[in-house]
Amino acid sequence: MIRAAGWILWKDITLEFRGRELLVPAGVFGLLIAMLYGFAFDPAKNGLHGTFPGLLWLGIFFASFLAVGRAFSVEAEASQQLLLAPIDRGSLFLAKLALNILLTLVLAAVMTPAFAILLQTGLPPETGTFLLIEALGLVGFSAAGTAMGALAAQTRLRELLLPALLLPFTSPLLLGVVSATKALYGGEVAAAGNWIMLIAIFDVIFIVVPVLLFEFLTEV
Amino acid sequence: MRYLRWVSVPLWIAALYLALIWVPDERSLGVSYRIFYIHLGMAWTALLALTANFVVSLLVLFMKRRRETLDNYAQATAEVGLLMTTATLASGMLWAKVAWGAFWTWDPRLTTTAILWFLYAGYLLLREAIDQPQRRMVYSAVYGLIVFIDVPIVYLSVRWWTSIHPVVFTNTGINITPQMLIAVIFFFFATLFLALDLIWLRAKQQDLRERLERMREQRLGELGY
Repeated sequence: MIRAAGWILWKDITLEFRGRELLVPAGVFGLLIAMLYGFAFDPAKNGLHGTFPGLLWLGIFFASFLAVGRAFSVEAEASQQLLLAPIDRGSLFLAKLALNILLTLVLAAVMTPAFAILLQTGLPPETGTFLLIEALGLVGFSAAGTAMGALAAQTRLRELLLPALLLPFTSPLLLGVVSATKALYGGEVAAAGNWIMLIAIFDVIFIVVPVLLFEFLTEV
Repeated sequence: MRYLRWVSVPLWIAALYLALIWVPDERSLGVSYRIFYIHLGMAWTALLALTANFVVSLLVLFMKRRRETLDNYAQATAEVGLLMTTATLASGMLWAKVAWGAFWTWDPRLTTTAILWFLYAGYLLLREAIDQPQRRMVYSAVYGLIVFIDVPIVYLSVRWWTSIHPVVFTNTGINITPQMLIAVIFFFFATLFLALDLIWLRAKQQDLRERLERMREQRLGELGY
């Protein structure tokens, strides 16, 4: 299962290296968001420390959307040929999940410094904990995004449906990452710890449940 | 099942009488608090309908037989659940304007209910966007399961989030007297029976539509089209 997932992931990474169809548009969009926030909120006049966690995470979530939504659409456009392969269906889900985690991590790695510089807030103290929050948050977003992306890819609307499915669903995750980041800025590491627990619970549940249910999706 | 109406109509009349006339005005909120009865009944019914949707979704995935009928109930419970959630939000906002002075506060229950509304609006959007019946059945069941698991996490996160902020509005001045409790119970059952009736009607209507479709195709086939 893991081996097959590895090969599918390798295929997708190769595709991405050759075509750069996901990261480049999503990355440019991510940087644009930082620029536009800068225009809209005028960080030089109004200090943005209070709102920075919310702005950053909304930006990352929105940009990740572009990447996450495509993972299954490419297979749908290739007429689901991958389903003919004699492999466990769960490995397809795991491969797409791994791809989405990689993509969102790269996006966040580009966007976070850009946001910190352009919105003039700097990174939060306890950078190590902040990186943990980012990693766990993006794993959760990717897990939910992969599951919802698998559903949305088979509909008439494809990725257009994804915001309506994914954003309400990830609202506890958004609350978690924003509150944890805010707690770091406020120096409340213990409060951040609680939120990190919540994010971790979200991650585990929404990796396990879709893997178990994915078989059903590929049957019809 | 067609006799549900014979229960729900008298229940509604009784509940309306109890809540609007029989129960006295509340001390601080006056007449406005009477919306509380319909609000609570709708809220409980909404949660029950959405729980029913979860159970039906499970059955759709794991039962071998009569899945099409179950799928019709999945659609019906989600629609009625969303309708009741909408009514809960609407009645709650009206009441909040009078009691708290604002249509909306970020109270955990309000926030969770709003997110719940979006989650099941998404469910119906997903159903709407899939044409093939088999796929619609399975996909919406999977979504229904995943979303229902999300609800407790939403509630937990929202409660933590708001507990960090100061609570601006608190729900004061509501002490349930035995008289009020009777009105609450009547309204709950009135709403519940209305919901059951609507769910049954909607599922039956879907069923009839499918049968009509099949008959039409069969007849067209016979005629050689």
